[in-house]
Amino acid sequence: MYVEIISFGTSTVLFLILGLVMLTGRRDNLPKTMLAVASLVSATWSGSVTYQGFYGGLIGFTLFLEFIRSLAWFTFLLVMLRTAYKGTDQVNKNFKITFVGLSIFIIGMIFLALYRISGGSLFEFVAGNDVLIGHLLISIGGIVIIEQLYRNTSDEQRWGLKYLWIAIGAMFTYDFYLYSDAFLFQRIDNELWNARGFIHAMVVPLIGLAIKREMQWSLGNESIDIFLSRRMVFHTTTLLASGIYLIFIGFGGYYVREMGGDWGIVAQATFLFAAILILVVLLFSGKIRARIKVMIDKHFFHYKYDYREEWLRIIRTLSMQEGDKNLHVRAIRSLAQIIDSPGGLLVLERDNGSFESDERWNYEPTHVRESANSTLNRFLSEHQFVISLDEYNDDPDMYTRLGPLDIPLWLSKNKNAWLIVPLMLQDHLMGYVVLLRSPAHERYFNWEDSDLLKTAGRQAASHLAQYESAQALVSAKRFEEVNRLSAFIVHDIKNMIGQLSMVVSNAAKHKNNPMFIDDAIITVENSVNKMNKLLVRLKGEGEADKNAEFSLCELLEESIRNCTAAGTLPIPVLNCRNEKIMITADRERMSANIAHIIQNAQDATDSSGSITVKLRKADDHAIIEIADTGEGMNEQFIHDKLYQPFESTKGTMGIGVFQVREYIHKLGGQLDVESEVGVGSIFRLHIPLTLSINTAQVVSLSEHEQLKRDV
Amino acid sequence: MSKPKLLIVDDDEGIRTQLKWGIKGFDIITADSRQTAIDQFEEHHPQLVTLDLGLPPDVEGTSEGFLILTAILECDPTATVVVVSGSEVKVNSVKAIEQGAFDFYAKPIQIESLQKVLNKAFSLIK
Repeated sequence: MYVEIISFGTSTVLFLILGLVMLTGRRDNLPKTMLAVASLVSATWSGSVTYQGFYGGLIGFTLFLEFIRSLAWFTFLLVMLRTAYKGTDQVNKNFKITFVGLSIFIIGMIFLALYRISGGSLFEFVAGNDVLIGHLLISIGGIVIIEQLYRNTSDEQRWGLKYLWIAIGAMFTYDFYLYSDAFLFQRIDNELWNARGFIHAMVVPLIGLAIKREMQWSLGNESIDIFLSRRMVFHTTTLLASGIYLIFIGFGGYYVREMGGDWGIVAQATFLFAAILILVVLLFSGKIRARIKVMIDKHFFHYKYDYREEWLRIIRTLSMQEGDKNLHVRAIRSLAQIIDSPGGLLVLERDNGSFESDERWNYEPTHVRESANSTLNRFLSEHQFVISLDEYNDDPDMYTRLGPLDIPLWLSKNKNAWLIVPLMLQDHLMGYVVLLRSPAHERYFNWEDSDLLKTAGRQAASHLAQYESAQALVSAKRFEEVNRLSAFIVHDIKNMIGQLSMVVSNAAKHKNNPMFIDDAIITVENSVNKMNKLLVRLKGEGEADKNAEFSLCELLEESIRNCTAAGTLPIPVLNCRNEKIMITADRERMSANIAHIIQNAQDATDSSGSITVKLRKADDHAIIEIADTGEGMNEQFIHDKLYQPFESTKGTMGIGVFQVREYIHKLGGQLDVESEVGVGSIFRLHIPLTLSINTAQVVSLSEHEQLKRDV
Repeated sequence: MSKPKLLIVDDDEGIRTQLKWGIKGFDIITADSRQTAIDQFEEHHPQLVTLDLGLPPDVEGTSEGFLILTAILECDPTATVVVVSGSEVKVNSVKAIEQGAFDFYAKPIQIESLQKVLNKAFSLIK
């Protein structure tokens, strides 16, 4: 009984795994789906027999499942056979008829078997034999279809499919043997029955082997490749190995208990616990996992890598932020992960042309400085090869026949250093990564690893170059800010030097004049104030705005007056629509900004042209519109230069539209520009209003003071 | 005989004050903005003008200074203006001369050298 349980239990587990593996990935073709169904039905039937072995009963159900299992396998074989012929209507019709006939036969057999089990005695002279004959016919039918399939399999496809036919054929052949024997001796032999589970279990690896050979699910021209996930194979293999291990441990534990006498139970528990602990340790071992992966890649797949998965992982590692690890460390990791390398060192080209160590990951501290002309750098640059130091040590000619190559001392003396992966940016070597030895891969490094590492190295190089460009841009912007600030500082310092040197110069002549002393004190005080302002500016604090509420319309009138005081034309026409819009801002800065825009408009417009300044309210914004009929600007100028500090069409170092926009943004507003060459420009300043802005809606300051006094 | 008039246009009070003490041989008038500069020029018709380019509201630029230069020369095309500036010396000196300035003086101001420039300018226009 135990043998039956173990035998059919093993078959159950293996068919279940096979069925589940088949259900992973694409299920877009009938043969594959039918193989999954047949495997799962076989698992259910084996499971039912196992249950029967444990608890008895279920005879009718088990018999029913056995016929269903046969039907499932026949269906799979027929579907495969159909692909061998061109799918004409006649062929499809014939197969439909065969399938329906077969189904009717098997369903009939099911009813017959159930009838006999329940004691049915019709046609008593064949009772017992009729069901056996049915089983025999099914197994013979299976062998016949297998023979047909084998004949219709081309030589090219036979390599991939032969194990499948052998596996299924073996099942039917054994069934034929079993039921022939039963028919001959009028009873099912227990030993043969118990071995049936093992026999069926044995064919599962053969089916797996056929799938591993990337069999095509068709015998005709139209083929659909099977997709077998490496991860699924990895987990299944691990699970299977763990299961086999545990079965052996179970037997071992049983033996220990039987032989252990008084210590039997204790020894068994200790043995089992220790065995499970070892299993857990092994499963968590990176080295063991790496070896299993290599074994799977080597024996189950044509290619070592699932390139899609590898590529996604490389990009994910390069792109994602992982704690405080910077891109340089992630670049090493992205390459190391490919071949399970435990660490690496990044060497990058510096501005002076030398190659120096940059970042390391699980790599001993190493200082590297290689000349750009070293043979290693030249070799990597010219040939763009991944260098395996093991290969180089075994046979240097492999590399040196391509060009001179000397491995530097810092690299050759590190016995764990294994691979040198070039980081190519187009055709330029921007650095390389030295990877540490991977125990799982070291004897298995081939062109696939090399190609993938080389390509991944290019990707890493692009990311590193992009990062460095971004850093350089930030530095350039900082320098630009410093330059701008230093221009202001130099200007102010010149003024202060001028003032103080004049004080000294004048003091020689007027030091006894009390009035001069008073003026000198004022001048020095003035210089001190300027220096304080400079300090504030250098600290980046800026001058505080003197915010106050004022009427925008009045400010515009004043700005226009200032801009035309010297007789400058054209004189802007103001249109405030009689609205008294108030805003809170630094009046002086706002005045300077508006004056700047108006002056720009005057500079750009011929004296016969016109400038219009409009003020209006829209929702919660005041809009100042300064429109001119001047020369206008093209789109490129607006995009590239208008908002650049110190860019001016007038050749001056003015505050520029840049500063106007900065201030409007500071107020929470917006500056828009519309312009057309030869037609003119419109500058729109959108300035947010606050609750206290519209005087029509609020109490004036004086009224407010009055109210306070009244209260 | 009355002294020739010199209009000093600069927004920095310390510079105006010290130039008043240091520059000899001129009656000095001062102005700290575009409006006052134009008013003073129209009122006193000075023989010489020293003009700082960086005036409010464009203290850090030169637009105000050039506007004043234009306004003065429009008022009196023979006016002698010495432009004084410390920023973008090359660009601004060329532009100032192009626009009609007599000379360009680069900051920082040294009394003695500015005095010489002004004396030379005055001797030439006499």
